[in-house]
Amino acid sequence: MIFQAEGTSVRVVILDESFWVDRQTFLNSIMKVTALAGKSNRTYLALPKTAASLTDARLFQERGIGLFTYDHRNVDEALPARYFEMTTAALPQTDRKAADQLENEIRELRAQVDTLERTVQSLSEELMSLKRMGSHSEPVKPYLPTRALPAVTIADNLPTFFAGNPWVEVLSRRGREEARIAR
Amino acid sequence: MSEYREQYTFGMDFGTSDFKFGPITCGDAPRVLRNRGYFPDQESIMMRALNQAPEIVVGDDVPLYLQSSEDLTSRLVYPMRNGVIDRGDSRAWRVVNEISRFGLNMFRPRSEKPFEGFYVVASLSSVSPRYMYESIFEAMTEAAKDGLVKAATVISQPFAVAIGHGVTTCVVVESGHGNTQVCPISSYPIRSALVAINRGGGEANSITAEILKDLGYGDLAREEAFVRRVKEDLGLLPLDLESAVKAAKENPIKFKAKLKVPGTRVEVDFADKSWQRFLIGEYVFNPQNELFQSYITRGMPRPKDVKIGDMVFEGMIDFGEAIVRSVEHCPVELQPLLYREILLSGGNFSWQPPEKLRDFATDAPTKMKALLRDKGIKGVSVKMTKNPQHSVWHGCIIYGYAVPEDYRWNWERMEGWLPVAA
Repeated sequence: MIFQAEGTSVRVVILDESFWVDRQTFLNSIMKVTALAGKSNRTYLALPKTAASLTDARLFQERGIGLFTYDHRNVDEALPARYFEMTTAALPQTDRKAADQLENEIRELRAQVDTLERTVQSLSEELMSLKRMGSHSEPVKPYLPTRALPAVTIADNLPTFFAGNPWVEVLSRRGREEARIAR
Repeated sequence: MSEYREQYTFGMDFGTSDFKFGPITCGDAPRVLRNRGYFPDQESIMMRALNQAPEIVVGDDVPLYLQSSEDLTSRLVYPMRNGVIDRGDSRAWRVVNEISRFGLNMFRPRSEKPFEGFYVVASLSSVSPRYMYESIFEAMTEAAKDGLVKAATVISQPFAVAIGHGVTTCVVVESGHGNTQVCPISSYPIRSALVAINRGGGEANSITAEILKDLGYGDLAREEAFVRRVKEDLGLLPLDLESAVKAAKENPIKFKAKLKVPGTRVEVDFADKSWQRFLIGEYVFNPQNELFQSYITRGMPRPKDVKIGDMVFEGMIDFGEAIVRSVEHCPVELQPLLYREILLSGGNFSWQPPEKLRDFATDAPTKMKALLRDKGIKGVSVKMTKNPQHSVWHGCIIYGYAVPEDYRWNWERMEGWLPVAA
């Protein structure tokens, strides 16, 4: 996705949550975002939060790539992206020096991809072992009161900040729950 | 819920700079006045000539009565400047009483419908000692004699913020002019885990004033409103202070700081000292950097540890450390839930980096995450409250509407209604 406003462009490469555990897809996303760094003013990779906690942000920070993390509730900027100035300078004519430079950069990129591959492999193994550990524990059962309290009705003409606010119900029970416990 | 309170719930947020107030019928935004009062010099020739100067002036009329600028510090009183009013500060309490009554009277119903007084929810700093609560209740009892108040209660500002934001388990970091409070909430405020810091927007003002003096703007540095404007327009919050200062020193043109006040000849230019913009934001979040030592050596007050009532306000602790300390006072099972919802509230967190400087300047949530990361806390969620200017008032209104009338005030739990109507 590309966002543009006031002369600034931001590119976001999103790793779908369902593909996080697929090593090939994850690698493709990393390589794509690395290749795109510098082609927009800012470049981000968006990872599911489960992946982000296992990711070494320094790898991205060194390349100026930012990180967003997301789950079904929030999207957070975990690492800001570096700002790259976009220039419209004409491309230099090809010569021996430019070709050597390009070759060196490609060599460097290959080395970085190797490092990333190893990192992803290790992260994938860690995730697998965490999943195996997680499956042994019992899910936390939510607390449910044994007797239901009367539902709270809210008038229609209230300010908008009342809408969907859980505190209306929580506060309406002040004194009631203490009385129930006392009995 | 009572139909009466659909009309007559009234919120009062006594902020350090602004008094936000109004009934539930105001909608989404309260009225706002400067939280201050002016005591005109009754002996001055002008006042005698007018023969009608009140003893105290609050509200929008204050500028009309201001006399010379030399009198401002003695006659213009900001009662909640440090979040706490001294028990014996009679002028400050006078301002609080006057401004409360001013606000209630503004909304007293003029219709024929029977009016028994407002259900007033006032909000104070979470570090307010008991006598402040007592004084607010006294003020409401007095107002009740004029039929303005039916019942009153007081809640803490962080608690109000959590209510207004709609999150029942969170850490609220409320930072105003005088101090910063870190307060975990889990359906109730966890008062035993409260951490107070003796640092707020006022410290950013102090360092801004010192910078202006160093740059040769000593006269302007004496005017608080101007210093505040320089802070807001030119101050920056660095993601990392050392690298930001280095970049700004290498390229002062990119980071230039210049301010001209429209309609005047007043202009401030930091020139090659534009790197000092980053000191303004950093000092609030983390004053421990040695760059600040030179200002302290030359007389800028260093944030000290102070004790007010039973609460110690630490001066030099950074905001990340304060949050960790507060959360670690809570049950272990609750701690991850608290780190997942950290809410920042208060004007002191309104840092907006210019787009072109975002490599070095940042906003408050990002800075806070960086400070927590330095302490080994990762995977946190830090957000600004949805409506930082009004969230306290929103919380007061929701509390006043929802809490049952028969939930009586109790000094142990510090919640409930105190019936004050005559």
